[in-house]
Amino acid sequence: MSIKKSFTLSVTEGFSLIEVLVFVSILSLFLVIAVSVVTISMSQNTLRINTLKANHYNEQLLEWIQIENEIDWETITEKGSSGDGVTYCFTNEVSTWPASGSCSLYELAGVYKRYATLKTTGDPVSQVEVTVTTEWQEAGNTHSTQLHTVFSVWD
Amino acid sequence: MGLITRKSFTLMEMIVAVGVVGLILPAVFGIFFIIMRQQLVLISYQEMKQQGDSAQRNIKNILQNRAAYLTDVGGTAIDCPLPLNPIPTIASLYIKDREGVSIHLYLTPYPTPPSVSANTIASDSASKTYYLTTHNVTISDLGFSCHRINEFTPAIVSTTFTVLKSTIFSDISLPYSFNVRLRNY
Repeated sequence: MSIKKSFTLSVTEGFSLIEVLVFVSILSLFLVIAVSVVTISMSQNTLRINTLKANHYNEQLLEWIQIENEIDWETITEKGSSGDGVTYCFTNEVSTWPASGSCSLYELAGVYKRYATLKTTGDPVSQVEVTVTTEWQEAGNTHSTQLHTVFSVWD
Repeated sequence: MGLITRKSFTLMEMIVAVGVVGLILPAVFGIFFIIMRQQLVLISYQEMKQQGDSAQRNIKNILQNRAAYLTDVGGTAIDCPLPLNPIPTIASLYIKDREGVSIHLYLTPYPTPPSVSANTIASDSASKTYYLTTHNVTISDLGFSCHRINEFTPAIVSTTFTVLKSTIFSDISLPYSFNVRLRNY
């Protein structure tokens, strides 16, 4: 009588450590690149939106100062001074000249600081240099856009 | 002796693979969605600024180069008061040029396509109508007022309006406010 013994050899093929490490590294690299691309793209887009709005606020203020200059040259010259000039902070509504002084808060639309600096030249004044600046903070950095113009007594 | 070699994936491996893909795909689409949304907002702002600036330029040109005086609906001249007694803001403006041609600036629904409910600023002059913005944006809160510094100076017309645009995610707006001194006064 013969006894037959049956053996079954089960081979289960798993991933080696190297394979797992390569996969995890590629996945991590992909995720890191994706996150950085998104972060950069988002901050660039936000910066472009804020710059566009800041330019709009600058243009609106400069437009108003230009009309003030057309209406009365004397007022414009009185509002400025020689040297560093005089700074005026304009918040939401531009209808009258505010008291002189720089902006303390980002009050314009809750995001921006908008101010105009008027510098005069000559005695009697023959030129008024106007610089309109809108500032805002984004990701811990302060950004700004500026418009600059010169009004002359001959205009 | 039998040798059984299993070459297929186990259930656990498949679950892990599907789990990883299930994590990555929503993340990728979420990122794509956020970037798309911001791009759309940026493009909307660019369009609003372009159209708002264009409308502002056109209104300034009309008022500076053509307007001799303001009138009421009937064509009677309105005297712009001194700043202490400003007239209330009006929604539409009637002006006349030196030849007596009447120009009317007002807010109206954009005519075409009729399915789009966008308001635009229209300028009626000599039975012709010009639209200052397109149906891509809508205009709201159009208002005019006028005053004079003293009796001998030209009238100053203040104009305000807001440019609005609805995106699929949110409504955004850009306010405009400017003064024009009538040169033809």
